[in-house]
Amino acid sequence: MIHTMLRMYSPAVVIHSILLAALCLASGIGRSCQAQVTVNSLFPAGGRHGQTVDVTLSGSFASWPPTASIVGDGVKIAYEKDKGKAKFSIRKDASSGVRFLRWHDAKGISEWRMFVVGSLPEIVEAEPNESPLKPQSVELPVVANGRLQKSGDVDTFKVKLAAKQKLVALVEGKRIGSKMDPVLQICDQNGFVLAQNDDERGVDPLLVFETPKAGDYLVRTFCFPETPNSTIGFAGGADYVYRLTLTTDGHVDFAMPLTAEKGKKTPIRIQGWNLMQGDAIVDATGEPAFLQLTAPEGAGHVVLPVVEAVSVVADAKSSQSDPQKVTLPVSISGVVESPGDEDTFTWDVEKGDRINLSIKAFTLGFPLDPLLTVTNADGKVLKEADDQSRSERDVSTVVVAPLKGAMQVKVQDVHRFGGPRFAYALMIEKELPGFRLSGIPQSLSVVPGKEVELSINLARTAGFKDVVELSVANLPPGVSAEPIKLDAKAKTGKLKLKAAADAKPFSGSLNVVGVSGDKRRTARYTVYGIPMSSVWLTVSSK
Amino acid sequence: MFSRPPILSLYCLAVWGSLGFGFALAGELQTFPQSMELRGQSARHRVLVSELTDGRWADVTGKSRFTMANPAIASVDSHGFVTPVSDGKTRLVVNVGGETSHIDVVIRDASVELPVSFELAIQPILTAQGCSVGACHGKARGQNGFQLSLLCFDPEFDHAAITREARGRRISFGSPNDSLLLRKATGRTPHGGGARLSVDGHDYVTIRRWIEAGAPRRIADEPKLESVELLPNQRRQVPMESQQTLVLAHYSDGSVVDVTDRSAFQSNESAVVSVSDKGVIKAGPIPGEATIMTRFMDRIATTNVMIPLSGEVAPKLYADLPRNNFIDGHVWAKLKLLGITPSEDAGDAKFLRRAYIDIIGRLPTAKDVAEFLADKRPNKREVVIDRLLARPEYADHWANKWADLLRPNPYRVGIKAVLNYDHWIREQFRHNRPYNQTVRDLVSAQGSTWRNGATTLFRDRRSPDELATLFSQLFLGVRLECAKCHHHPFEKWSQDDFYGFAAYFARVRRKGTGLSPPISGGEEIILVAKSGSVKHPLTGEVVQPKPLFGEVPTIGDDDDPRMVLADWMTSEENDYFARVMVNRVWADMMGRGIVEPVDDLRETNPPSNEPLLAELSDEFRKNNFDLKHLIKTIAISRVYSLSSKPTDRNISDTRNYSRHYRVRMRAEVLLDAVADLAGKPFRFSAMPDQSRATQIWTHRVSSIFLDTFGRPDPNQDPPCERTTDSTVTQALHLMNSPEIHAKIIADDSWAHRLASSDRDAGAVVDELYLAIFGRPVTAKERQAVAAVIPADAGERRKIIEDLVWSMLNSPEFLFKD
Repeated sequence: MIHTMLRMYSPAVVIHSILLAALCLASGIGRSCQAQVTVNSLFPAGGRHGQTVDVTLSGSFASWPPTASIVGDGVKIAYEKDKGKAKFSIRKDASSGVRFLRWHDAKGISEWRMFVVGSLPEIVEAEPNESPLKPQSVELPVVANGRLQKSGDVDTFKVKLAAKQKLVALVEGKRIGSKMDPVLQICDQNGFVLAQNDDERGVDPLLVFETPKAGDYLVRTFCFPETPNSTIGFAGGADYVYRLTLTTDGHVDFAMPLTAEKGKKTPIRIQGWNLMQGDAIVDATGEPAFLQLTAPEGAGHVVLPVVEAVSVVADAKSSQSDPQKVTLPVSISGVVESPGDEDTFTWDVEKGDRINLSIKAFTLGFPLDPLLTVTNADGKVLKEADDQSRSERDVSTVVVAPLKGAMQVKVQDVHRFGGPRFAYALMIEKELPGFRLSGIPQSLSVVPGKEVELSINLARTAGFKDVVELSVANLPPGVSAEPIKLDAKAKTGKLKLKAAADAKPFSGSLNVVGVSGDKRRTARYTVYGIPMSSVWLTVSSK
Repeated sequence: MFSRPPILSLYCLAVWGSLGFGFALAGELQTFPQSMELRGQSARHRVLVSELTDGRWADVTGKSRFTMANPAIASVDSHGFVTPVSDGKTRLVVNVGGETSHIDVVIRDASVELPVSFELAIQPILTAQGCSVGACHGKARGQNGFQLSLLCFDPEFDHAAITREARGRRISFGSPNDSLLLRKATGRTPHGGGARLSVDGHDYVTIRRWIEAGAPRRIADEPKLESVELLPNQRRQVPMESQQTLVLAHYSDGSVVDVTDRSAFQSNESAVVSVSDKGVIKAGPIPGEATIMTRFMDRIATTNVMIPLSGEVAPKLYADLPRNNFIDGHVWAKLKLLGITPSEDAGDAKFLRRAYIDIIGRLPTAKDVAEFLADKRPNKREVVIDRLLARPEYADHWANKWADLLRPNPYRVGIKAVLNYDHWIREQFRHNRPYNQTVRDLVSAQGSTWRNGATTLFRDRRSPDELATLFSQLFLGVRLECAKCHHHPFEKWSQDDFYGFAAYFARVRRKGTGLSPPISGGEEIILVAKSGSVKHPLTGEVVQPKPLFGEVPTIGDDDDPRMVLADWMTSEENDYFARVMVNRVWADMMGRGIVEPVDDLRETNPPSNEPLLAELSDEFRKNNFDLKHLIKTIAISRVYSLSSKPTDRNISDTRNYSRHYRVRMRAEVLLDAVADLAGKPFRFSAMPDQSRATQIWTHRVSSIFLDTFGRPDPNQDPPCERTTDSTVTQALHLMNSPEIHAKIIADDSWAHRLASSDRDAGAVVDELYLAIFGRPVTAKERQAVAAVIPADAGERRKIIEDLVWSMLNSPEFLFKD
């Protein structure tokens, strides 16, 4: 089914899929060095289609240039002579969205960093711009790539707006890996604050501001450190990099549903500001791990995880007396649209079924603080589940069906708040006997003649007790790892990677695999919410 | 709906107007009581007599001659004390200089010793003798092992303490006279409190009779104390005049007993009117007014005493005074009663400076002043008030005041939580949110301390009792703190009231990261739990949510009890809510609250002008709790624009607004004024460049200037009420601050720009006076000051810098006049 576009963004939303496995090695040659490469930040942290961006890599480089690994299409890196300087060339037809990059040398690999490709004009902030008397003037729409370069820094931008315009202003800081907790203000031309936001998408701020009258307005940002401290002052530093988007045109916020069904084409509806609402179909037939999409000439992009479940949209009219019927496994996307609103879903269970319910809202950048209430066929409350942990506001829980019949879950905000951005993705599935592997590191290094231990966490589900054999795939020549067997009681396994005395230097990916009968799982970790499975191995010279 | 609390009907100018004027002829007598009924052998009742003299009632009890019509029924002594003789009715005749009046007297059970009630007879003795006060056995741990409830508010506890504790050794039923209670009280056994009773005294006999009867907790058909009356209930006195009072206790069986000797007394203005522990009111040497409070057991009553200024003022003077709105009418009426006359209008220049400081917290520029003075429109004051209320500085200035009351220490609750709370406060003023909605949102705040700043209050105040204390004081002007541990000694609030109010916060729950000072930087989420209760500390019983007065609203299963409380707090019937807010705003603009302290509304602390406070709060409520409307209403009144210069008929007035009361500018306003006049802003940590002091989001942003001029200590818990005191340190700081000096003499300073302009010396002086003092320079000043400004460019700059420095150090700059 294809919906017609509601507003101007017909005929189609531009959609690109990114295969995680597609790893593109950019220019640069690995060589032996004294210390492992580190990259703490990229500045600017993004660019526009067709643009070549002068990027500064903040970090340490014993050898220059290091070798980059990029997840995502259309970005090519050419290194300058000076350490830390590079040109990022973005193809005109590159997809909008995030690129994940990391750099390695002969000693090891850096952490993942993000580089954002967008469709709006981009500028780099020019200091001094801390004073309302000397702001940096910008034309809309624009993405201002900024850096709060030192403690106390404030960046101020001046925009000219007509009356009754809706300015979308958002800072991406923590969302693109910056160690900052930014605050955003919109002020009149004398610096008097008209609107302020601290946290909207995670700790990153967002303001949608309707101008009371035509004139010049100031948009400014400053920040506290990501980890709170007791300093009465604004934070800053070389790695306090952000992207400030300012537009009175369309801006994508999210898509409904919030997930794409693996192996299927899923109709979706784009939500956003300034006429940004439209329908399209996303294609997950190639079985990517996630999809990214945006709208032509619009700002912002959306990441859609691909799930192995039917992806449905919640019926806004569902209620406890008339719940929405679903079939497991299901990924439900919904919005708690107004204060007091609640969505209710029902499905059939057999006595003893273990039902996994996992809801994501806060971690996706939405303000919903979800509360799940699971009830039995007879209306008895089986479980009321709030935060997963002190710092994890989303919910993941298991409920055992005491009776055969219908089971119900009610989704609401714990405060009974609601609104157009109170979106959630609820995964409900019957827990089947099996296992999951996690806890692996992003990288390892070993020297010839030595060994290194690789620890893996094993989680069993639904009473699965069979032996699981762990092994390492894609090992280079000269490196070995004996498979190990984990019995029903084991919760962790430790694989030993041994590098032979004559093992050659190596830099590359390997995977940890668990097998039990016909069940095969690859161990994973997450980077900024995106699941990754490749562990970088460095065999360095002695 | 709610019953109107007695405080609201207490103090009425209409009553004042009837006190001795127009309804009684000179020489007329007034007696208290007008009739009496005495029951039992030990009964005793005092009589008061007043005579209308020079248009007011004066106490003539001491000059009165008392005669009982039938001495076989009752007797009376020369002081007017009546005692029973035999059952029957008679009449007491009072004669003052030939004028007579009479009092009907009924005697019952004259030959009977009535049973002694613990609650109605013994406890009042313990209270009156000081046994149960906080300094003695009433303190938390008692005295020498013997503890009574504070002021005997808990009869069960006290009865147990006397009759059962210490293995019952305080009472000797076999030999009542040897009871430890009586031996100690009479000093026969060493007693830290000394001898409080004499063996042949009335109190001693009463206690002994109670012990002889078995020291019962209750007697048959024991009535309840319902109310206390203090007579006379209004008085106008002349300086140094005395007035005996009479305290009557009214019981549930209809009986009325003279308890004057068992009552405690207190004046709220002892310098104006004092009261002895025997209940004798004495006017001081200066005109004014005071409220006298009496307490008998857990009941209080008040009477108001006014000492008008001597001398006559023609009524026409008051009739001819301008009335811009209702405020003027109420103030003039009060002044007329006191014989005080108002000062002149302050003039346009002072009005403008005052309005700027009050409404937006900054000074008018020289251009603002010049334009306003040149404006010939008759409504120009109203025009400028409207313009100021629309300026962005309004929100920052008023939010800065409320920040003192709400904003906690970031080292306790976290920097980010405070920044968001500060932002929330400012938003209320930026959008001029109706005050009732603001309070409703605060009382029922939910969500993250990083997203909804109002929730930070619940991060800071973590227990229901802390929340009850804060909310009742801030938004109702009711101080419940004392009632947490014992019945409020000067108010009607009991522990039941306190915990009933606190119970509205019993279901507040927190999740996320709690406090971990000194950083406490984590995010905490405030939400409403499905259950939660508050227990009474004495009984251990769960206390149901109950408002301080009125009907108890029902709380539904899905309701947030705080919303129900917010409904009650902000309802039209709850006068406290609007009154405390209008009183705060009035105090901010007028230099003194109609009630002081501004957040202490109670019967024993009445407003200086009740009709004014009542109509201001009505106006506030009728206009949807619109703060800007309230501020404008005050600012356009004639009273607001009065000069601070006193007249000989208002020089002693400090509470009736006969003249403007000068107040030093707030620390932030003053610092911003200095920065504006220096031409260079101060730089604050954690604030963007060019920020004003009124925009600072925490008192922890360091500033010696702000600390010196009375900014609250950042370690102090809110609410913090500021003092506007002037200190030597402030004067020294202004004079010696290198920072201020550097700003004045900087190359881009205002002084330098003035010096390097082509204006002649006279024009420079004009500018200095308009900008710094907000008024045109006088011819004499202009001539004198211009004469010291030389033509030489270098010297000219130095002299102008010196002039700016000198003028910034003068009271005319520092004070809102």
